[in-house]
Amino acid sequence: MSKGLERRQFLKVLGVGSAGAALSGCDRSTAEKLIPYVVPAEEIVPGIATWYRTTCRECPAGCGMSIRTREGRAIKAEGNPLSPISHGRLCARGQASLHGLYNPDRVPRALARRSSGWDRLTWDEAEQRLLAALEANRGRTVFLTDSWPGTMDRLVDDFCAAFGIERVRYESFALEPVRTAHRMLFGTDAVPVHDFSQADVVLSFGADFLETWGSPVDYAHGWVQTHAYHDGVRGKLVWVGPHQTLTGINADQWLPVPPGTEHLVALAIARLLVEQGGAAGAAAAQLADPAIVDRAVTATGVSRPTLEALAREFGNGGRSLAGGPGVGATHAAATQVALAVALLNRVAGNYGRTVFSDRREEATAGTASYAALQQLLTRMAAGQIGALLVHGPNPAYALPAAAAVAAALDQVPFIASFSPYLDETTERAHLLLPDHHFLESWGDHVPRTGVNALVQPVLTPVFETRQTGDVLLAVARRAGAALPNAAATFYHYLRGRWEREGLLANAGGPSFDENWRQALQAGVVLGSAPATSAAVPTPSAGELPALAPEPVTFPGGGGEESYYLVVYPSARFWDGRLANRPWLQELPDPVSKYSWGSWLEINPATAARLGIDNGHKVTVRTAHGEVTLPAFPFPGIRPDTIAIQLGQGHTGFGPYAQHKGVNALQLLAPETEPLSGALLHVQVRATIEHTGDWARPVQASGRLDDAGRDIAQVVSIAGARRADQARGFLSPTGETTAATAAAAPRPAPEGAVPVAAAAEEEPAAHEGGGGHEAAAVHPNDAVVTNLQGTGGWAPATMGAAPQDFPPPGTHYGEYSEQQPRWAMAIDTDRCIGCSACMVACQAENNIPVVGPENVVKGRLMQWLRIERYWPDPANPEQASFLPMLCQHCNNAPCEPVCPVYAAYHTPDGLNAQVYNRCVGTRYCANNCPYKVRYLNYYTFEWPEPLNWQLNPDVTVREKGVMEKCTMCVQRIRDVQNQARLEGRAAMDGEIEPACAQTCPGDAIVFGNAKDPNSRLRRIMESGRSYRVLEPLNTQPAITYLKRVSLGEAPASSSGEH
Amino acid sequence: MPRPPKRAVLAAGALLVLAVLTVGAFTLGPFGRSLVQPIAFPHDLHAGTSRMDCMYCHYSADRSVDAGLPAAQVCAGCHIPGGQPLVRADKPEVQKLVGYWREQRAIPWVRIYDLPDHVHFPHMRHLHAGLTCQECHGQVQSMKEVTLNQPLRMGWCITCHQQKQVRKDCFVCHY
Repeated sequence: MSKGLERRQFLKVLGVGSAGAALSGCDRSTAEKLIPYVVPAEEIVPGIATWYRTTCRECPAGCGMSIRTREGRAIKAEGNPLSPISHGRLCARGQASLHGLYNPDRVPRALARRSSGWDRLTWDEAEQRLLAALEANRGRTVFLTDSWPGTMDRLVDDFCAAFGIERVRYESFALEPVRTAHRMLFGTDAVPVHDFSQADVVLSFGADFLETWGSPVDYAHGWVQTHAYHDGVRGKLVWVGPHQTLTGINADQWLPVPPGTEHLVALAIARLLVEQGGAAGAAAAQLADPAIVDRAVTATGVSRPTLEALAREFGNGGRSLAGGPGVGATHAAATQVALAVALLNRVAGNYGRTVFSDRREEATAGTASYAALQQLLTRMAAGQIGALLVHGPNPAYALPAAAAVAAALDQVPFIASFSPYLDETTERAHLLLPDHHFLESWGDHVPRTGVNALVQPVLTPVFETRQTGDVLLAVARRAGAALPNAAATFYHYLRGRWEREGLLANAGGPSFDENWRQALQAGVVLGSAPATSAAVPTPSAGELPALAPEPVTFPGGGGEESYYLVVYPSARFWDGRLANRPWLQELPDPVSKYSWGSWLEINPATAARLGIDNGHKVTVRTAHGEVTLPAFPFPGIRPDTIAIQLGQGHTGFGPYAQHKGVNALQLLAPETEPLSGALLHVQVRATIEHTGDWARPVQASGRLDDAGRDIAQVVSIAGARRADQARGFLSPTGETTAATAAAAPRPAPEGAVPVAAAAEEEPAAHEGGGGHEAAAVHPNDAVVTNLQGTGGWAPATMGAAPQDFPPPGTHYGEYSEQQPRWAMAIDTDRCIGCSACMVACQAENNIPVVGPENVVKGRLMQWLRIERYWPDPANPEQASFLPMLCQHCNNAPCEPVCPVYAAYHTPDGLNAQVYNRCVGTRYCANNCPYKVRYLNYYTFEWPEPLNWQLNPDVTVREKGVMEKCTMCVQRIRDVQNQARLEGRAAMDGEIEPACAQTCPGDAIVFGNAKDPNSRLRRIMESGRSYRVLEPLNTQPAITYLKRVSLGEAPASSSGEH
Repeated sequence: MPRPPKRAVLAAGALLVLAVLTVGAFTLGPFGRSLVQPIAFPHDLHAGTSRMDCMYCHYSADRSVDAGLPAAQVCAGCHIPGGQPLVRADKPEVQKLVGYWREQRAIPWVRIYDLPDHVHFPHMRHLHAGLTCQECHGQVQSMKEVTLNQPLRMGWCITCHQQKQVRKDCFVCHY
């Protein structure tokens, strides 16, 4: 401070300045308008959310959704608890569907191409032009659609029949090898339904079932129920493949076999299973050769004892499951892998228990293979196609040999696209007939056998788009073509079909109208009960084709200089169709933590040999193309393999997607797997060249381990059992005691028990540390005492539990023992790292998207992040995930350093950040050991209409304001307000923060730590509980449960081993 | 995406203007001064003379954070039943209403009670705590034109919260 300006004077000036700033926020000189309805909408009450059930169409899985709307705008997507596909949860893609709805780059209305730019059309003109083109090209028109099971499928088929149109249904990730194997075995061209919740041992041959394989939310939800530590036991996941995806790094054991050898492993395990006494049955001929095992050992380097042990574990009386291959494991023998996997499931007796050949994942069933699409492209290039209608697929981006595809499209004289976005194929179209987003549409979906889901509009259309079903009906009417069961609108057509086909016959209501209303409210209608296990067909003799147990060879030369190239699906962008969602672009990849771009996965040993470090730009070359991208060395990949994720590298598709990263398909040739016709995603070897350039990577985390800070702790299963026994949760024989199973699944709402302390004025018994063990003497106690000195903010001893808040001796603030103590427990053994919670948090709390230029500067604003660590990077089987958010510390380091009292502790135990007090000194963020406070370096904007999504219950922050997790205080207040109106207390489990709500693994539990009967409290008292950076004496409200290792816990992890 | 930073000079100028406006607005403001409404709606006639319940029009005050604002249909229900102007049809202000209704346009009322966006005021909690509308909004039933009867400052809220001995820490309203 200079001499002329004393400290007190400086503060006065500062005070006046900030008062001015605060006043401008309350500026009432310009009168705001209040615009009421002319005629009120019946179901809308201002200030109260209205929920609509619908079905997610971001990927084929078809999760049930509940959409929260306020005053006619959709503001938050959540899972529909009645849906057997979503179980009330959503993945990151489903959470981000609102960014598809409100995307500023949507095609706003019908357009026609002119020499440069687009002409606006009325829908009448557009339909007229479409009709003219169809009539001129009768017999020479193709309608290319994605998978559309349900009513729309019928309409499109009837429309195609009426106009002489050939229809091609194509899905990028339709798992052709798995479908082909099941067609050979059971005559059904579909992926069978898997039940991961009944499988203690899962063998995945490249099936990334936590990300894109099959029905990811259902599979993740089911898998966690069995796999995560519960009642003293835990499941096991074995990942077989050359590199680990998100599912791979969740595995307990990794068999890093070379690409193209997975079927050998599956056959060897099946053979060993038979040798150990399993019933080979129909598979006897395929498994007769005793050399199968030796061949697998030679080709993969996996030892015979390892295979024998796996066979023993897998022969588990139908409590096991094998899956695969995934899209990222589609090599020339992919169908062989799928057949071997089916054989393995057959020998282990899994059909009818964990794999259901009579229940199909309908969304991908019967779609065309890539080979069929290639034939279509050949005909286009030859000028045989007069008109192409496209709805869904984006061939100009999502196929290899982009130049040839573009040339083929250029040979088609008329292309009409129904895409809501200007993607690469739509850019080449002559007529744009943008469909509604699915949240604006009527429709239905059949995610799997026996599940009928409804799609209903949750808001009036954002743009002047028109639903494709309505366009087809209108065009047919215009042409005078009589479509079967035609109706005035697609809505009537849909209703008509449901009524005609008796889809609601079992509903039991007095009339179809009533049943329909109830079905819309439920969002999903379950058909008759699935077949019993006895009726499930298993492969029988003569049906099994001969298997060729030979490893695949890959072109591209051998030697040290070339590497197997694996191109695999993205958990965030699917095949690239979701790359224009800003939330997903900003979401760090769960494995690499890169956002807004691509990266090359490479083994650290290989990288070191080539002098490549994280962020170094490398050029990857194959015979078909080359790309340059930053390298990410990580231990989950073989030294002779490199991998690139799909989904990026768009040349169009709007500014959020354009020129972000590279399109790995450019490195591949348009080659197909011989049996299934699938596109080969693992087909060549590639060379790497170090360009010598380095740029700071757009990455949320710069390292693989936790630098010895013991942040993500691991305990061996024996240690976990001992700790639970010590606390009375397990009897010495390993049985669950009546006390509880700590990580019990979420109770049904009707089972909720009232929380005495939840309402603000309700008195509650202060439990103190009752039931919680006395704190052990920690080796760092002396350090802490030293740190605390004599004048600590809230003098407290080590180990005080969250429910002990407020700590004795706290003089600051108005604390009351009658308030609840909001807290959270996070079971890291149930966290799969999927990052759905991050998008849910960003959506709920109006967190801005900062863009790559700010991510590079470490200014990501996501309040919740998933930290992923390899405690020992040399041991890639030990990855841990840790959701890190504000810890709402009892003894919060951020609070005493705030000069304006913007960070303080509420009576109900939240660490609050008061935006209108904050002046942006950043002292709090500097003093936070968890790095969970985020400053708004700019006043971020939501380009119209993305701002329509903003949650009106949460303040939008501006430049210079610090923000962080509030434990969704708006949801707490909402439930408290409602409970008060109903004259009751808030129930345990009634308040769910956005992150906990969406978690497919049920890893996050929120509640009142002072209530000894709360579910939270039971979990907090688990023997695996710990708090991150506990020696700092911050006394967090977030209790973590250690990840459980099937073997020994890594040496760096503290706690019992 | 960050907005490109504005030039420093412009920013300084804008700040100055803003400061003047702010001080002006805060000293005068709508407090004690009425604003011109699209229709001069007499609260005294409706809530006073005719003894209509406040919640006949502000229908969600007891169940929502928002008190609610009557749709034009609510006004028309009395004044234009069956499409024919009836009650006080000769008055020029009712004629205005008839105009809006015939054209099916929303009436753009001017907001008098306007809290900053970082304040969350749940109407229903206050009603259920036994407060009357008049305790915050004044004797509306005798106001020909509704005016702000106090400057809506935080101290005013806090005083009441203190008197009633209810929570008054920041996070109750600011989040």
